[in-house]
Amino acid sequence: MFTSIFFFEIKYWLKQPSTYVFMIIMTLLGTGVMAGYAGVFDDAVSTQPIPKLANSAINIHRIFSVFKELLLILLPIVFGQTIYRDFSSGVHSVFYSYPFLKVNFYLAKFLSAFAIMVLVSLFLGVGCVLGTFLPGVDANLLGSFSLTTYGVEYLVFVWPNILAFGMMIFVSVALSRNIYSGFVVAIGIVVTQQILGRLFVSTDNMTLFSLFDPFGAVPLQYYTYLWTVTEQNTLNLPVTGLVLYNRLIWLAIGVVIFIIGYTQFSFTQTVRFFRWSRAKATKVIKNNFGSVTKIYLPTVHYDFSFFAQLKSCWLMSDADFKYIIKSGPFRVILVIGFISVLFTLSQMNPQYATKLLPVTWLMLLFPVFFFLMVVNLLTFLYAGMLIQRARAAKMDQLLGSSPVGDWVLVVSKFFALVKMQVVLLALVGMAGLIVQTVNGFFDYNFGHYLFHLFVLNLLGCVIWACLAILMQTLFTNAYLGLFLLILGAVGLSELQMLGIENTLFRYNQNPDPDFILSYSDMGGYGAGLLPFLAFKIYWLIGGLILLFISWLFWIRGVDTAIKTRLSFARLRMKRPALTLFSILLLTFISLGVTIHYFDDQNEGASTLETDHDINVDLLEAALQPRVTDVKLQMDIYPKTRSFEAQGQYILINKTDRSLDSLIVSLKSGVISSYWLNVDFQSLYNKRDLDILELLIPLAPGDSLIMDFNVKNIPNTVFQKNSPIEENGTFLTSHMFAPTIGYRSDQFDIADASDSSALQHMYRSSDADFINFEAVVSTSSDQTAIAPGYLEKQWTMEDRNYFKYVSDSKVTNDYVFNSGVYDLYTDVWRNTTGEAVDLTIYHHPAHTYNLERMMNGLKAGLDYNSKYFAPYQHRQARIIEFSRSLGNYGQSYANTLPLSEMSFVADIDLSNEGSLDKLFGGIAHEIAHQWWGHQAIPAGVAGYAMITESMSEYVALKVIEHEYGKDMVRVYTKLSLEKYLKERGRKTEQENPLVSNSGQDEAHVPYEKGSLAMYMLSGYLGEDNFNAIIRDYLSQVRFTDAPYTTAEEMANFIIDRTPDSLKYLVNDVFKTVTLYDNKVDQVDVKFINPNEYHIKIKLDIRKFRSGESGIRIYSDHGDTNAISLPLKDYLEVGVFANGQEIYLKKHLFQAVKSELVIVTNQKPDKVAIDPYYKLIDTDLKDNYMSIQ
Amino acid sequence: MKLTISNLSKTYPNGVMAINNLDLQIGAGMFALLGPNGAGKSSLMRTIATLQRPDSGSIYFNDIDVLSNPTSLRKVLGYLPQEFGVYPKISAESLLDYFAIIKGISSKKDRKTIVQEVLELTNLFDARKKAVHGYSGGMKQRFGIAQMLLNNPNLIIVDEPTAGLDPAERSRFLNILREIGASNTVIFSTHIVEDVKELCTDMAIVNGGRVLKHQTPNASLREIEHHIWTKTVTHSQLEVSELNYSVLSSSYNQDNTINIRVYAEDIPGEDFTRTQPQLDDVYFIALKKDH
Repeated sequence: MFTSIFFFEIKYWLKQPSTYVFMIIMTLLGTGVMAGYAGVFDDAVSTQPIPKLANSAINIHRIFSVFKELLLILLPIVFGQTIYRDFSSGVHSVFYSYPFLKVNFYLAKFLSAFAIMVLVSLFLGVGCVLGTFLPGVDANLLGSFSLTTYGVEYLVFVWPNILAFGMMIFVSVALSRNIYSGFVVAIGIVVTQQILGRLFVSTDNMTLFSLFDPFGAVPLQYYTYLWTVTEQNTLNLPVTGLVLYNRLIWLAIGVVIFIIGYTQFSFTQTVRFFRWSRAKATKVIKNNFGSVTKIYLPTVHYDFSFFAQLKSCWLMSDADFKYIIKSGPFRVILVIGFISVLFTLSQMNPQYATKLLPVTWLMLLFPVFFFLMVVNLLTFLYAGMLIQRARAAKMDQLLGSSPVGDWVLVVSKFFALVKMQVVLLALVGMAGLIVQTVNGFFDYNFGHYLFHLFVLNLLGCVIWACLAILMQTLFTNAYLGLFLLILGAVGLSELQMLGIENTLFRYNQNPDPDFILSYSDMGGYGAGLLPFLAFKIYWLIGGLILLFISWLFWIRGVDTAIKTRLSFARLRMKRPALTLFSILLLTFISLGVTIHYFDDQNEGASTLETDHDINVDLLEAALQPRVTDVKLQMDIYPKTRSFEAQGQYILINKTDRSLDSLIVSLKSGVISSYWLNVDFQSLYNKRDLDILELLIPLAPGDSLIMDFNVKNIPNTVFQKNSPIEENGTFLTSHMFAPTIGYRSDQFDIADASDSSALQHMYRSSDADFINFEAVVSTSSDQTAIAPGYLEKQWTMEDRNYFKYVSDSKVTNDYVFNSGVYDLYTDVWRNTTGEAVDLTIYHHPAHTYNLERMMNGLKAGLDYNSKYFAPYQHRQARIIEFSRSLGNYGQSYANTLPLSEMSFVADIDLSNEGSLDKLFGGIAHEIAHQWWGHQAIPAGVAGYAMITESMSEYVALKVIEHEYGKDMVRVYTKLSLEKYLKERGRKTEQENPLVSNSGQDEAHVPYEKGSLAMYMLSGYLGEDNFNAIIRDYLSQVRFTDAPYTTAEEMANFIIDRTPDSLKYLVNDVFKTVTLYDNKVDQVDVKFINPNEYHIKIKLDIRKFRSGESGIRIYSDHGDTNAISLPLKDYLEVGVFANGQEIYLKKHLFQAVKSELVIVTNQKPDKVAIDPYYKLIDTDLKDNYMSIQ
Repeated sequence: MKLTISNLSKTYPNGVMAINNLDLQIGAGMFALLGPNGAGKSSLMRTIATLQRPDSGSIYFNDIDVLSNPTSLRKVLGYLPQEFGVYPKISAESLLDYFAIIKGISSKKDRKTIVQEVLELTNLFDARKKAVHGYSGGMKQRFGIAQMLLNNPNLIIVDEPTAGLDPAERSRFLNILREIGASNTVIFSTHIVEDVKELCTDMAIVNGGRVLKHQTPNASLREIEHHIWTKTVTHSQLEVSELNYSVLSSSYNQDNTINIRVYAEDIPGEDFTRTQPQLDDVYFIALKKDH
């Protein structure tokens, strides 16, 4: 009997067209994604030295992970329908009276569904394999096929997931007799995974949470997140420890639920499910007697006018809306969704490096990623349920024969969905307000909530609702409709892979793929709002067209045959409807054309060809006069988001030769013109590059004057062409000022060995130190700031003017800020006793962190001037700029523009393990006034070691002095993890600090560099190390060309380091050296309560990192080596109750070693390199707890 | 008040020809559609009720072209399908209000008045707060009538409404129908011939998608008056009788003998006696002729 039910079910599924649809889709998806990884869609053949292989175990896992939610959504369809079919068709009352054994029925139903899912899921793998045979596959990217890889993926991840989740879903549908409870379980699983994903903050809590990740992804990550490319390509997935436990836990949960479900399941006909209240039992006794008198119906008014119908539509949508909000799935998802939003908003795992205050835009930002997905999913689901509702209740004939217009039926469903969306979005707002209130943040911005949720977000949701109505109307199978909708929503973003790049052809997409409508408290939505709305309105009209089509093919009555639907469509496509349709279509097309026109207009403006048919090397080497004086008049127009500048350069021939040419490079993206006070003739002229012949050569020491005008390319409706914001502008000289001489790529850093490059400082290539003055004007409500001291301020023609002059040596790069600011001021005394004015220009509402910033500023000034050199200016200013322009800070002469994000950072130091990143960050920025403005490196590779590594070192040090070593450990561990993680992503050989360009590998100068400096400071002693640095600085301070290099600094340090530690300086600066240290074993011998002997076995390995992170254990090609030769000092620490009771450097000369430490307290932890001073690839085994 | 059906044909995708070039004219009063299961009655009624599109032909109600302007017909149509359900967990009162909205009564007060009235007419007022989903068969049919009355229809189509009702419910149901039928056109399908006799002013017998006979019940009875004969036979004689005579129906007596009814111009055999014609006879004669 088991077999007969089982095969009956299998046959049923194999007869369903939807089964094949699922198989085909799985195959296509697998093929598509694999083809993407294998380079089918790339034009060029891969040139990476060691590419990431498409067939590697981890990549196969990655591909399957992409589709895990899609597979999950199939489960309610297959498992749910298997058991639900009996209820929905009403046969269960007959069926369940058959003498089946419950166990046979239950198992056969479940296993048949499982078999079908196993079959369907197999096609994903089939697709992947097919993908590797496509034409255009890049063999270099492929790697070798391995059946084991697929086997592990299916047996450890895919099928156990199907089995465990299938059991849960099967039970929920069997007991509730409602297929949608299956979808609720599926969504619950996704939410669980999302929440756990957010909890996975660091290695500290990863172990626990990884056990409960439903898909088994987190435990896998636990083992693999630091894998280098080589490891990713060669290693199999680790099917051990946490991964296994995780799998077993979820299977166990599934089995337990399945067994409980079995005991609760019965063949009785009434639903057994949880009810909030039980309906009171009352008898319904019919009146059997009584006859009919005459029928006189009261006269009522029947109104079929448009407005009456519209009213009916609204009232009917109320009924459908009530149905939605009363339904179980909706309520459950609502609760789950609400909790998860609250959870997300509490920022347990902040998206940005620092936790932010619960400002309104943040409250609205986080839910977008997750909650909108839930809203859309519910829209897809309920579109189907509403459209099938009458048919499912068998009321469709009553409705169909009533005089209500077809469009009223369609539109009422649409309205009901929109009402549901409004409720859901209101919930996000409520969650935001709750989180703000709980956090004691009372700066509510209700207007912003309303606009964002009910205009911006709702528009997108409504457009999806239109598509949902269409699909669910066309497909009479609601589950198939749901599946296709989800697929479509996911797939739309991938359409560009298939060559559909124009977003005008991609339903409900943003103006371009990486478009983000970001909100700033300073500048609002900025220039992105208009294009966003234009696209939404365009698609809304597109959506209305879809609604129109839904109406055409709406099923009214009993006949669902295509022929009948076409016949109805023809009947409906009459005069007024035809007119409406034409209007919609025309509007849609003309909007599209308009958008395309404006888009196109912009394309011409933004693309600048910089292919020059001249000898670039010769051009770069050409000797040029240097800029010595810069005078500027900068007019900023916040309302129109544009600017205009007039400037004057004085150029002096600092060489000992006469110069007969002048090369002027103009910035792309702006409109520039210039004049010289000498005669010249143009030799070459191509948009951004002019080569001029000076008719009278410029003699050594002679000067000339260059005047110029620059303004931004006019903004178009859809494109802002200037960096000017309505409020919070941040405009640097690199964006507009002409430069002298030619650099083929201004981001291309010269090699450290390029001696001619030593003539140029890293901040500008056409000047050494300059005299700088600027007049800046802006609108009457804003303040404009430029480097230098404010000399004069006036108002003219309703605009504010400011004149700034620099009196000390500054570099030729400068910045303009403009915004509506409040000022926060303080005074700091220089080492000479001179007063330095400190000012923070901030958005009036952003007063949250001013004191902390000021302290950071002072701490940075203190530390640098105490150890290194005096501060060179009489003022220091922090200026807030809009987050639309970025989340970072920069350091110009006495001027530190800083993103709005820092001003709303939420620094809460009450928790253990917290970190005052803002305090350190400000110290970092002000440290640049020394490291970048006093010590100015040449623009060659390694420069960032002098600027960034040193500034970050200062940040670590001020934190250490302000807050203690524990906080530094938090910081260094974060830095180390970041370095290791970033490093794992790289396929190129990492360059050591002294020759690292910092391009695409900022983690080297920042994280690794600061760790290196901090480590050396610890090994040599802070005073000793800083003294060496001071001596170095005094040698290079304010020196002109040739500029200093990282090599010079490193050698300077090495020369002054004791011989026993020279290896260390060499390792960190000149090589890429890593350790893999671990505590092997610990034995504690109790002597007496005041004496403990701890025997520690340690494993110390040191290696150099090659391409793709490959480990090299020998500098001489010895392949048997397991470590570089050791003569290294490493710290060994012992801890009791969280307190350090022993910390000392020990000399290690072999991989395996053993030492005995005597302590006077009972130890509970032993660690090698406890403060993560060295670069260790595996942080997890540095500590060992003592039992 | 006139419903005119001409040349109506409908073939389902599975090849079944449900309506076969059918012509029919129906005036005011109660009109019965008689026919065996699968005769095409329901298809015909659904087609008139605009729930199905025919392949060809035309339907006019007064001057409404039903096929090209279904909405106009729906305004005056009351339709009760053979089997229907309702949204669960909703009371009769709310559901009727919902139907009233759909049927174009946009004033809330109007809706309240008429819902109250139809509830009372159908004797459902006491059960108005109960979910219709849980009603008994008879109450549900009455609810069907109630929703039908909301738009005060002129053309009422009810598909086998009395099937499964107990005698009391059945008679109450027919009474209401008769009331409505007094001034409107009511089409109802049945295979219970007795219903027709009690109620109908006109009738048609259909099978195979065609009208076999269209005549008032009285006229059709008159037509076969004097031509219906009866005889009592034993079980073993039945087969022989069926071969020799045109046996319309047979029924058992208490003593296990069988009464047969035979249609013939003159007395078919000596042991036959003449008897009063019944509507059943008309029905069976029509079906027999069709074979």
